[in-house]
Amino acid sequence: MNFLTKLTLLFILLSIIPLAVVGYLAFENGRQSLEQNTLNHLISINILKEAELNSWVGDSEIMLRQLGIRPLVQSDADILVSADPASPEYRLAYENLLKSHLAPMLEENRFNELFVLNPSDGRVLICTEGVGHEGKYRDSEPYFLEGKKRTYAQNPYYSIGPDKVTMTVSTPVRDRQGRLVAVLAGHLNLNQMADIMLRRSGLSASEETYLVNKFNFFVTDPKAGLGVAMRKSIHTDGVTVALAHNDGVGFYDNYAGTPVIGAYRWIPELEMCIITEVNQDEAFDPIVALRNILLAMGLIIATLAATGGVFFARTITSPLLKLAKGADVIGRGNMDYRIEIKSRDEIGRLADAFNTMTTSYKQVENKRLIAESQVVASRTTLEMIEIIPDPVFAYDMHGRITQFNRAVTGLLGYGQEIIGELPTMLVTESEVPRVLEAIKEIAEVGFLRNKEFSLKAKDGKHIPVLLNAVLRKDREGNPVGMMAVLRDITEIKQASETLQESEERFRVAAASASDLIWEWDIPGGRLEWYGRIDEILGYRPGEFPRTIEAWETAIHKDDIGHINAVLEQHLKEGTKYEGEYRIQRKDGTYRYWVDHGSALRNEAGEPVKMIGACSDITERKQAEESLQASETQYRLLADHTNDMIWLMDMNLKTVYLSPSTEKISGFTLQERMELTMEQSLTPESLKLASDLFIKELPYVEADPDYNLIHTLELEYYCKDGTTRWTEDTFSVIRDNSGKPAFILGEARDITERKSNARALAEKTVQLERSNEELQRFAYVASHDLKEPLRTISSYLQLLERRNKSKLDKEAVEFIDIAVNGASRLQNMISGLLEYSRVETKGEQFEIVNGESVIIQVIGSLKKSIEESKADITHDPLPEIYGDREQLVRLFQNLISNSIRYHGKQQPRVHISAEKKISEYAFSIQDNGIGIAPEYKEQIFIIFQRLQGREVPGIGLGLAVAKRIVERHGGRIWLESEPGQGATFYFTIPMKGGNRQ
Amino acid sequence: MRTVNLIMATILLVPLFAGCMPQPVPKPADRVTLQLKWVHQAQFAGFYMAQEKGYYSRENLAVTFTEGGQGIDNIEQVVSGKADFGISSADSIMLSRSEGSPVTAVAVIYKRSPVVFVTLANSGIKRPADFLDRTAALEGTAFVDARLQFFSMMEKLGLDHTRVRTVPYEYDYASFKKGEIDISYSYTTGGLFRLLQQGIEVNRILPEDYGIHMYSDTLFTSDTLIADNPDLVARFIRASLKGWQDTIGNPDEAVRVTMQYAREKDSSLQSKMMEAQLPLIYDGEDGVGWMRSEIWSGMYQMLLNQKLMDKGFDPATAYTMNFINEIYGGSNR
Repeated sequence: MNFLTKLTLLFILLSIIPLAVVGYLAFENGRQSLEQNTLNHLISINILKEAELNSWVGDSEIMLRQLGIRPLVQSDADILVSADPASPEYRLAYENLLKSHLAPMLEENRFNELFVLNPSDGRVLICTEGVGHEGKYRDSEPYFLEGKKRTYAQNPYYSIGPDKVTMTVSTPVRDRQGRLVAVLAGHLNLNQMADIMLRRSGLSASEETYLVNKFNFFVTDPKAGLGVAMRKSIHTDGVTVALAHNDGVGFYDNYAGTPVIGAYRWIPELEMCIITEVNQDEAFDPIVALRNILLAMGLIIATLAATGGVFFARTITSPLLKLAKGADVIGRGNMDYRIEIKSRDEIGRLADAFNTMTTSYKQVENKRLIAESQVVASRTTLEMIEIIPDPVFAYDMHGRITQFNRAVTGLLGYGQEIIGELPTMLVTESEVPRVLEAIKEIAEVGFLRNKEFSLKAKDGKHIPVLLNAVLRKDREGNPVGMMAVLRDITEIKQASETLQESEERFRVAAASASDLIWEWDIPGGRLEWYGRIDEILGYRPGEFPRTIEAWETAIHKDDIGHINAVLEQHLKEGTKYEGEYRIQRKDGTYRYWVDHGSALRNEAGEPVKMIGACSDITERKQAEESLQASETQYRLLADHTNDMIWLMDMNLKTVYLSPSTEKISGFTLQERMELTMEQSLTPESLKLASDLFIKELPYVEADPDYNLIHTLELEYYCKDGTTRWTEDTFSVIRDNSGKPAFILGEARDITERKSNARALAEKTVQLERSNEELQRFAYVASHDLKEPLRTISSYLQLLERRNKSKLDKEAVEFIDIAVNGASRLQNMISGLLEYSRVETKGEQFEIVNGESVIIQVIGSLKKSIEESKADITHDPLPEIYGDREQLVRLFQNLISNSIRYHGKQQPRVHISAEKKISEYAFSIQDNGIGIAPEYKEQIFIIFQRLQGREVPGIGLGLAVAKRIVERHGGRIWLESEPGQGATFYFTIPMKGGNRQ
Repeated sequence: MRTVNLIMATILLVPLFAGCMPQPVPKPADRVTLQLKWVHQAQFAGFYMAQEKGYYSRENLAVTFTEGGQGIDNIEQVVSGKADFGISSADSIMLSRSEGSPVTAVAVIYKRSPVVFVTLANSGIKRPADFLDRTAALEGTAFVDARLQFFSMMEKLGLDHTRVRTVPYEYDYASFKKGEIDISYSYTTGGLFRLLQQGIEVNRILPEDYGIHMYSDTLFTSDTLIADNPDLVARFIRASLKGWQDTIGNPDEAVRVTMQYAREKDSSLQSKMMEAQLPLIYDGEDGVGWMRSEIWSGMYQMLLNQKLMDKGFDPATAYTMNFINEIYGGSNR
C-alpha cells in the first residue's frame, strides 16, 4: 500500500470510527427513547380507554338501575306481569311505561333497545322495538338469569335475531317490599363502545385500539367499517398473551400481518382484552430519518476525510515522488538536474541536501575526468607512437630526434643511432633547406601538413613520403617538441589519375565516420548532402536548399568570416579545410558543427569539386560550457569557505584541499597535501578515522547504493605543533558505474567549541562536587550537632532543678538564658537539617492537586489562623507536578510567613495561580507589614531575619521555600512596599518543563 | 484448522449415520371415517380445514369424509361401524339413544338451531301467536327438528298447535311465495338466503326467541370407540375443533378450502352459508364445541313432551363432556 492510500484510509478510519460509534450510540439512544415513549403512550392509551370503557358500562348500569327503581316503573311492571293483557289497567301501564319511561331513555342513544322481562319465565313483556319483540323468551340469557339478582352487564355476544354484536345490561325491578317484580334490560348501542375504541389519540395514523374477547374474537373493529367484530378471530402474539390474563407490550405482527408495536391489557370485568397498536414503520419513522441523516453525515465526513487524506498525502507524496524522480534522473547521469521542492520541511531539506550532494559530486567528477584525461593524454603520446603503423618521429624543440617507432626502422632501416640527430641527415643534400624551413614552420605555425619529402634510407634508397607534423605542448602550453608522421607514398605516386579521385572520396567518407557528407560542385554551386541534413536542421525532407548559398546563410554571422577564410585558403593554397561553426536550424536555434573536407582539382590545379564531412558536436560543446561554469562555481565555493574541504582517492591519498586549510593548519596546501593521515592526525583521531574506514569501506566497495555519510570529531596537527579540532563529515563519491572514486570531507573547525565545552564540563563537575560536599556537610553537621546540644540543654536544666535552692536568682536567670540559647540553636539546627534535606531527601515528583495542598496547609496552620483570625482565600489552583510534601511545606512557609508578619490589621492572605506558557506562576498576597525593597533578596537567605525577636521564628521558612522552588526548577521573588503588604511570587514548571 | 475439519466431517457424516440408525418405526396413521350430515358444503368447513391444515395428520389420523344425503342414516352408519364419527342433529342423537343405539355426542357444532319460521313480510304474521289458523309447511321425513321446535314453541307459548294446518315443505317455496302457504320452515343456513336472494322479504320467527334452545349439528361417535380408543376420539375432536376455530377465525379461507370439496361449486353460495352458520357455531358465550347440560336436558324434556320418545332414559348418557373438558382444560372457552 502506498502513502496516499494509507493516509487516505487512515483519515477515513479516524473520521468514520468515532462517527460510527457516536452515530450508533445516538441512533440506539434515540431508538430506545422513541421506543420507550411509544410503548408508554400505547400503555396509557389502553389504560385510558379501559377506564373510559368501564365508566361507559358503569354509567349504563347506573342509568338502567335508576330507571328500574322509579316507583312508577315498578308499579307498571308489576301490572304487566300480573294483570290480564286485555285489561284497561294493563294497557294503561303498558302505555305509561313505554312512553314515559322506556322511550325517553333511548333518546340519549346509549341504549338501542329497552325491554322488560317477566321474572318467572323470561318473557318479553314490553319492548321499545315494538310488539313483534314482545312475547319472546329470554329465559336462558345470562342477562335474564343474572338480572333477576342484580344489575348486570352481559359481555358482548352475537345476537342472532338482530344478527349483530350485542351487549346487554339488566337490572331487577323490585317493589317496596323488595319482591322481584320484573327484569329491566337494555341492549347497549355498541357504536358508542366502538367510538371509544376508534377515537384516536393522535399519536400516529396507524394507531388502532380494539377489543378482543376471550374467544379470540374481535369485539370492536380495529378500523371503522372493517366488519370483523364478532365475525373473525384473531391470534396475534399480543392477543394470545393478553388472553392469558397478562398486561404488557410487544413487537409482533398484527391481524393483517403488519409488524406493529402493541400494548395489550386484560380487562377482567369485561373478560376482554384491549389492544392498541401502531405500525413499527411509522413509529420508528423519526429514528429512520435520524439514521438516514447519520448515514448521510457519515458519507459526507468520509468523503471530506478521504479528500483531506488525499490532500495531505499528496503534500507528502508529491515531493517524495519528485525526489524519487530526481534521484532517478541524476542516477542516470544527468548531474545538472535539480530537484525543485519549495517546502521547508524535512523533505525540502532532504531535497536540498540531495542537490548539494549532486553539485559536489559533479564537480568532483569533473575534476576527476580532467585529471584522467590528462593522464591518458600524456600516456597516449608515448605509447601511440608505437601503435601507429606509420613511421613517427618525435623531436625536441631544436629538431633533434628524441624518439621514433618501429615503422621508421621498417621503412628506413635506421636504429638507435639516429637518436639526437637532426632530421637533415635523413634527406638528400638538396632537401636540407626545406627540412629546416619545415622545422621553423612547425615551431611558428604549430603544424605542418602533407609536405612531400624524399628520404634517404639507410641502404641509400630514396623514398617519397608525405609528412605531417605538429608542435607538442605541455599543460601550460609551452612548446616542448615536435612530432612528425610520415607516409610512404611510393605507391600512391604511381597510382593512376582516375584512381586518385575515388580513393580520395572514399578516404574522406571513411574518415568522417558518421554524420554528414557533402559534395560541392564548385562551378555549379550545388551542394549535395549525404545524410540526415534536413532532420538535423529541422527541415522537412528535401526542404533545406542544396546550394552553397543556403549553407553560407545558415552559418552564424560570427563564424561565417572565419570558416570562409579557411575555405578560401584551402581552395587557393591547398591548406587543410577544417573548422568549427554554428549553423542555424529552421527553428532559429544553433547547432555546433565541425567541418572538414578537401577539394579535387583538375589537371590545371583548379578546384572543381569538394568533398567533406560535418560532425554535430553540440552536446559536447554544451557539456563543456556547463562544466566550465560549474567548476568555476565550485572552485569559488571551496576556495572561499572557512571550512576545509578535502578530497581523497580510494587509496586515502589527498587529492584536493581547499585553500582554507592553510588558514586553519598553518601548512601551505602543498605541504599539507603531502602529509599522510598518520602525519596529520593525533593518534586518537587517527584511530577513529581508521576504524571508520576499516569498518565502512568494505561496504562502500560492495554496495553501489551505500553511502558513507559519517561525522567524526578529529584533532589535526598544525604546523606550529598545536592541534585543532574539526568536525569532519565524510561522504563517498562514485563514478558513473557506481564504483567509489573519492572520499569527500568537509571539516569544520570546532576547536573553540571543544575547549568551551571542556571548560564547562570541568566547571560543572567541580561545582557538583563542592555542592555535594556542602550538602553532606550541612546534613552531617546539623545532625551530629543536635546530640551534644541536647546534652548541654538537658544537663543545664538538671543543674537548675537539683540546685535550685542553692542558686541565687541571677544564676537561675543565667541558666535560663543558656537553656533558651541552646534550644534556639537546636531549632536552627533542625531548620538547617530541613533546609539541607530539600535537596538530599526529596521525593519523586508526581501530579499533585493544588487544591488539596492548600487544604492540607490550612489544616496544619489551623491554630495560628484561628489565633490571628486570619482570612485565607484562594483562586482555583491547578495540578502541580512536584514533590507533594515539599509543595505543602512551600505553601505553608509562605502563608505562615504572611500571617506572622501581619502588623496591626487582621491578616488577609490570598493565593492565586496563573498559567504561563510552560509553568504556573503562584502568588501569595498579604496585607501585612511589607518588606523594604533593599531586603528583597536578603529574606531568602538562611537565618536572615528582618524583624527582631518580638516575632517568633528563626528566619528559615523563606530560605526553605526558595530551596523547594528551586528544586522544582522555578523562581521565587517578592514585590512589596513597607506597610503596603507583600506578594510572594513563585513559579513551578508544568510537567515536562521540570528538571529533576 | 483441525477443529474446522472435525466440524465439517461431523456435519457431513451425521446425516449419513442418522439414515442408518434404527429409528422408531412411525405408527401408521389411524384410519378414521367421518359420516357427514349432508353433501359436501360449507356446513362442514371446519372438518375440511382440519384436514387441509394437517391437524388430523398431526394427530396421526387419516380421515375420510363420507357424504350424507337422502336415505342415509348417519347414526346407523356409525353404529354399524361403517363410520367412526358422524354429524347429526342433537335431537336425532338423543332419540336414537333413547331407542338404544350406542352413540354418544362428543361436541356440538351448531349451538343454535338454524331452524327459522318465515312468513311473507306483508303477511302481518310476526310471532307464534299469529300462527293460529294458518298453514305451515313443516311436513317431511327429514324435518324432525323443525316440527319438534315448532310444536314445542307453540306449546310453550300456550298456543294450540292443532289450530295450525301443516303441509309438506317445498324446497322451492313456490306456494309460500304465492301466499298459498303462510308459514314455512327454513334453515338460516340454506333456504332462508335463497329466499332473500330472490328479493323476497320475510319475517323471521326464531324458536330461540321463544325459549326453544336446541343444539343442531353435533359430532358423535359410538360408545364402542369411546370405550376402546378414547385417545383416538380425543385426537379427532381436538383436530376437528381446531379446524372449526380456524373456520370462524377466518371464514374467507374456510370458504376457499370448502370449494375444494363442495358439490355446488358456487363460492357465493358457500360463503353465504358460511356467513349464516357462524353465529350458530360461535355465540360469544362458549368455546367452539362446548356443550351445556341445561340445553341437553331442555331437549330431552321437549322430546318427552312431544312424545317423540317412547321411554325415558338418563339424558346425560346422550353426550359426554369428557373430551371437551380435556381439550379446553375444563373451562368453556
